[in-house]
Amino acid sequence: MKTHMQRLTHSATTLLLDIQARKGAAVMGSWFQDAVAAALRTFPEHANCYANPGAGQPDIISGETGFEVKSVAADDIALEGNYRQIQNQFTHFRLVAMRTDIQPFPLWLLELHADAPTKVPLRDRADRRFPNADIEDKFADRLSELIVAAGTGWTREQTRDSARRRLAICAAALDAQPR
Amino acid sequence: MSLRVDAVQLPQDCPLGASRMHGLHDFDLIVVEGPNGSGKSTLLAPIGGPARGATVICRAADGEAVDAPVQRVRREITRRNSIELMERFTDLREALAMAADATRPQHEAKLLQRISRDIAEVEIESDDAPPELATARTNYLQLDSRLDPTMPRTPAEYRSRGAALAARAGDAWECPVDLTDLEGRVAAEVRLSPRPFTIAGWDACRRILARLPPATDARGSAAALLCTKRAELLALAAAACDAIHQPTSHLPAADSPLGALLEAAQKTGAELTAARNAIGDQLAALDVLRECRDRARKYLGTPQARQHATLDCPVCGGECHHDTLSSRLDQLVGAPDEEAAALQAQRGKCGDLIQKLERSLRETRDLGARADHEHASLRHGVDALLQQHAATASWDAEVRRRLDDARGRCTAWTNAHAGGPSVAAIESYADIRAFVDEALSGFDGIIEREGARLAEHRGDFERFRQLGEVLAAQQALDRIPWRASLERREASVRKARQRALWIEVLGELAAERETVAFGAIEAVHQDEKVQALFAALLDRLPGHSEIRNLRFAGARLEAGANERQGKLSEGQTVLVNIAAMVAVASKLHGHASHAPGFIVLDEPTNGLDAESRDAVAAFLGGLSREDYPGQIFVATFDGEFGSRLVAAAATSQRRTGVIRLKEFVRGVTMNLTPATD
Repeated sequence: MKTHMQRLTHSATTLLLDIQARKGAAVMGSWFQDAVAAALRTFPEHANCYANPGAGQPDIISGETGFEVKSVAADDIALEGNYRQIQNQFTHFRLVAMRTDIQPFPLWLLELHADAPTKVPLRDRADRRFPNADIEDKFADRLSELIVAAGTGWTREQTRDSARRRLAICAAALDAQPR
Repeated sequence: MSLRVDAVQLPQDCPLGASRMHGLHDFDLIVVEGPNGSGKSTLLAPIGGPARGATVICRAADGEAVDAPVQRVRREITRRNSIELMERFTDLREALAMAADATRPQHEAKLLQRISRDIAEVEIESDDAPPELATARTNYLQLDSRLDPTMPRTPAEYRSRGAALAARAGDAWECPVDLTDLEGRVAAEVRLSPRPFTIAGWDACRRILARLPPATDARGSAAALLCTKRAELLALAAAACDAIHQPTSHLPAADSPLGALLEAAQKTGAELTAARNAIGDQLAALDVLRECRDRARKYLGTPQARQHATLDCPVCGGECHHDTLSSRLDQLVGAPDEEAAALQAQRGKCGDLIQKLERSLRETRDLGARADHEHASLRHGVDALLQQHAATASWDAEVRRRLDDARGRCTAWTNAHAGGPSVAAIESYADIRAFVDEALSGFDGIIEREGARLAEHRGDFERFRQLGEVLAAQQALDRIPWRASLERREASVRKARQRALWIEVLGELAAERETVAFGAIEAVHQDEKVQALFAALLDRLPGHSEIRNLRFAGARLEAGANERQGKLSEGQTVLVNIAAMVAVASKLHGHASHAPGFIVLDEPTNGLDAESRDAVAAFLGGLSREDYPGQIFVATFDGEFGSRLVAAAATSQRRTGVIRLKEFVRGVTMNLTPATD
């Protein structure tokens, strides 16, 4: 089965580029990871997810689901060598991938299974084994919405911790809105 | 194929005109002599390199004429002037590269490199974003950065703030759907903009109330002082009455009108003055009697009086004896005059009282005037307030109430204190003034509070409006339809990779050709024949011991173990450079890549002394046809050098011809004549 790539909005892409221009690609990748975690928390099924900075663990953990978050300026993503050990610890293992060499940034939310390759190609229609229709279709929009709601108040924070707090406040404000 | 120059034809427009030189083919050494400016360089210019309009006719080895401009020359071995010959040793690599057939691979390498550069500059089609996207991004970030960092940039926030502003403004508001519709959004927002607050009548009321004169301290007022002064005046008037034994019942009360009081006091004062005057009269009478007695005594004290009785004395008619009289007078005069004393005392008392009374009267009058003026001032201010016909109908109720309060107080004051100045009037006015001051300070507080509220409202509105701008910019940005194509991106990446590969391949090919050329050049550079010829030529140079370490290596002249290059004289440098030229030219003579087989030296002995000049003549002229089979052209102004050159050439059996340009002549045809010694 194939999944279509999603796209962040131009405005969300602009804000991520703002971080990249001011702080570099590595910081942008880290803060993007925080944004993914904050966006996931707005979905009821992942309301308790948390970012996990430890080595040997996925970037985000939500119950029995682990999320690996990657941003690359290339057409494929290489997963670290130990990712299979990580993967085996979770019932579901998902890759949240974003390409930064194309704008607006495209986004994939892929379910990876044990036999998935270590190098995951990112195409318009990427392989996925099982549908993730629960959040996949809405995730890019939700993420864009959160990033835009935080705006430069987030991208221009001085530290990652204060940036996370800013995201949390905006996520709460989004949650409070009628949908 | 080496060519030998046979004829040179100059163009019409050159300084020598259409001059022609021919018959050169059979000569190996051609010396062109002539003074400066005679045209030597002009004549030889076409031979040393391409010259516009000039024609050089050469002949091949088979005698066939070749009418073509001189091409494919290596100037450093074809034509040199004196300055170049005296320079540090010439780099002849290019010339030897030609001999080594390295030119072609060198050119091929350069061509490959050029192709590689051209390929690198080719633009690979990319999916560029439209320019409006960059503009929209910049605009969006600028607007967003102006917002409070804590404000969520969401439509819900915008609606919520708009609703709050609408409630404050008491107006209805409907959030526009399309925030990118600038006109619609601004029109909707303007309805929520804060209106300047108005407290109708505050300013007018404040101006009215501010016109009341300031209050004064009652205790220090003229009215209070007048009150004291009135009591003092009355007391003095009463004392005056006592002094003249009059009752005080006719004196007015202390609170009587001031005029009545002053009049009564003045009257009492007048009466007191009369009494004092009467006392004065009495005293005057007593004084007359006393005077009389004093005179009488004095008279009686004289010896004459003692001896005579005065029969016609008006006082006693002579009945008194002067001693008795004198004794009697002594008794009368000597006794204290108690009556007079009493009268004196009384008169003095009256005088004091009169002074005090007059002073008190004066002061009381003055104070009365001041108190009147003071009271008039208050009255004027109060009347002015009461007479203000301000349009109060449109004023706020609170403003009207305060003004009415003030008016009521003023009316009461006017009614109570119309009679004249008083301490009570002062004190009552001070109460009015205190009330007004409180009212005025209250006005300031209200205005300040309303102003702060307005500023806060404006701040809220501005933040709301800015949020609208950001959301509009964000929506406009997101509506730009451009999306970079993944396929085009990947195609671009593939092309870039291919291009890089091509560039790498071309680079390798170019390097390969360069290696070939380098190898060929190196082989020629180390050519034993060139080395041998160069060494042989060096052997003939005077002062050879100083240049023996020179070596023709790598197409450059290098010193050996002993670095002596810097020690060569100009003459030796010229000789070494000529030797190098000849060695390389000899190597290239007849080579297909270097068609000309001749050397041109333009004034080679400029700047040299006679010894060096002679050495050059001997060396150059001594070159045999084996040393260098081609033609050698030498231009010189130095007749002596020319002669020695010709003489030396005779010994080396080079066929020598001389052209003498004695004067500047245009359009001449010169036949070369064999040199005669």
